[in-house]
Amino acid sequence: METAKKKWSFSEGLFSHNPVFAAGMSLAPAVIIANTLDGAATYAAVFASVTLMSLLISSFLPRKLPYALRIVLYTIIAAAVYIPFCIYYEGQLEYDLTKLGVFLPMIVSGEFITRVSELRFFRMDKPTMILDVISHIMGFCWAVILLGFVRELLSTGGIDGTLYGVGFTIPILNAPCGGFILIGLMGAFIRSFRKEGHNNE
Amino acid sequence: MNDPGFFQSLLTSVLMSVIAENFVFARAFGVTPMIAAAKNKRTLPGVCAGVSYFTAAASIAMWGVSRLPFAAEQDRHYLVALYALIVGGVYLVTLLCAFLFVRSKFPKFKKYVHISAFNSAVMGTIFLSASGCETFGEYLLFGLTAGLGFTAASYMLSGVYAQLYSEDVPGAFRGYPAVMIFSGIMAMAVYGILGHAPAYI
Repeated sequence: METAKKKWSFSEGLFSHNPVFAAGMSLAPAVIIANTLDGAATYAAVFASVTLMSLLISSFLPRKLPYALRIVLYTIIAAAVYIPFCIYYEGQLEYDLTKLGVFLPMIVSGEFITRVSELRFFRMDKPTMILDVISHIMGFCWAVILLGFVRELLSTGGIDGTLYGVGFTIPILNAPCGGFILIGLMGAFIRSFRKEGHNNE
Repeated sequence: MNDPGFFQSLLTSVLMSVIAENFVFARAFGVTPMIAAAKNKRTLPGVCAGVSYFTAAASIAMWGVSRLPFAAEQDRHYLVALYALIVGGVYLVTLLCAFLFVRSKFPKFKKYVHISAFNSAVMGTIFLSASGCETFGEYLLFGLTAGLGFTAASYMLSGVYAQLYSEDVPGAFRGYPAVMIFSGIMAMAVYGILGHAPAYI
């Protein structure tokens, strides 16, 4: 029986295989950091730069190297990439990066770099890999920014101290439990949307 | 050792880290390996033992590194590379020891090592122990209790895993979204005990 090979699509990383809402990757920052729009956007910027650059450099490592050694080298490359980016962003952004705590440096050992690189990205040809990495990074970024926006708005009634007339607030959305539950609800929403799409086809 | 205060403080530390400051539910570290561990009851003890070993070993390694004079003088940006080297070093040494001493079981052992080493639970242990521990005992206890917290969370999820993936759950929520909502409810319970989210800096 011939099985049709699933066609790659740029939207996979954005929606159907969204790192946060569908695939369960890099959840710690999404749950903890993404409770303010500022924090989430800053994290997304550093994450996107460090992860993209690290994966691009790591993709040139020879596949002949043992798996264990490759993973360690990916993390070391990511750490080397992280340092200049972090120093650059500290000079450019008004947001205090130390507020992001241990989650910022933990990008270097994140699932994009140590797991998904081997299981997905580096199994593709290079142009598709680059597009797939970009799509997943964009998927992660919109997810954390949306979470940051919704959680800040609903937990404080405003964004960055400016109130927007939200009649009621849910302060617990600011806590980790709020992050987990919102991710679950968004995951269910995306899945039901996908099912509707499949049914319409 | 015969001082009842010692055991009392030990018990309090263990209970705090397993319940109130649980690594998964309160800090959102190691959610992905927890889901992977809970999936299969046969591999659950192995993954939990692996993660606990790595959190303890990484914490001890961190204690060793923190004694070195150059570590204290480094800029915090450069310490990221040092922490990545610690995880990589512990991972490679563990694989080497397994290859040398339990060669017959090495292929099976290798799978647990891969899944347990590079995750936010281990990296989080290194970063948090570096900022909060001073003596060898504190580092060791922090590493062990981090692993214990992960184990407790994995066993809790394992207990309801089949229900969260069952046909009784509406399609959109079945599986990953239900796991996130379960984690959110558990996180809400531990948040209620502590009354605030633990520090991450």
